[in-house]
Amino acid sequence: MLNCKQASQLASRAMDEKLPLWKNIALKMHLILCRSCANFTWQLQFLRKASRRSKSNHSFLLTDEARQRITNTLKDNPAER
Amino acid sequence: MEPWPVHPSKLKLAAVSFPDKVLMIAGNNDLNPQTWLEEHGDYLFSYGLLRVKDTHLAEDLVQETLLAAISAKNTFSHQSAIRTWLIGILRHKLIDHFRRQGREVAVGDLVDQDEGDNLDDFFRANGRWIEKPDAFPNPESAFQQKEFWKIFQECLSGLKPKQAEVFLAKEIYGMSNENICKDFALSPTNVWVIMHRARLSLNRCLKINWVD
Repeated sequence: MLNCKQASQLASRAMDEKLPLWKNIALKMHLILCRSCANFTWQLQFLRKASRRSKSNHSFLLTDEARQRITNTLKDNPAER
Repeated sequence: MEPWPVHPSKLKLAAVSFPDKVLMIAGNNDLNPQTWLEEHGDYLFSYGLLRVKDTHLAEDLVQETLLAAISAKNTFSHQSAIRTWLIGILRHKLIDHFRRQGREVAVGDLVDQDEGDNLDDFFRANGRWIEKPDAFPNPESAFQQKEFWKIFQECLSGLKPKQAEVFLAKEIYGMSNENICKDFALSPTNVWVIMHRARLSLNRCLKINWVD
């Protein structure tokens, strides 16, 4: 039987790849019985949605002005021959 | 992992929307500096932003990095991807920046903080949660709120450098596990451990600052 530490490790790994069959079964069994780890997997989904959304929704992109300013500076740069 | 939808900034550049992967391969080792800003500008910017937590400063760092990259173009060895090389230059720029602020930082502080498998902040010796995770509120209502994004960014900035770096590349920029292993010189197991820790820390940070 998995403990919560192991289950959370597998739950995190399962976000990124297909788990080997028996590990997947062990995780599912644990999640049926453990409310905390089920909540953790829900948090992982939340985090993934937020991460994907943050890219388009949020300040992780250079603004057009900054992009233009940098382009101009690069053009003027004497090191570029 | 499922292929990611085409990133919006790429749509502006390409009349035809290629799958992200094709664009990444095509742009990956392009030695024309003009394309560096287009291809990697946002990534460099967000990487810097997580470290310096100041938009203008992060923009300046992107510029300094690209200027340095142009002067050092001939030193680029084709063993690494352009993006990895650019991030390497950015790390040095960050160190210069922190030095100017009077903070002593070594390259190692920015890249190598590996606590291995130690999860004592989260789990007891018997493997049980120290703080049991709660259910988070509905994501859609959280995402509508500006305050949430501010906290999200702060939580990301609060991660250990390597966790932030891998999380950013993987979850926000959609890099494959394979490329992450290659670019950051990590084994697949390292990536699992780093991602697990990053997720635990982010969830805790969001819970403290957003949910509670």
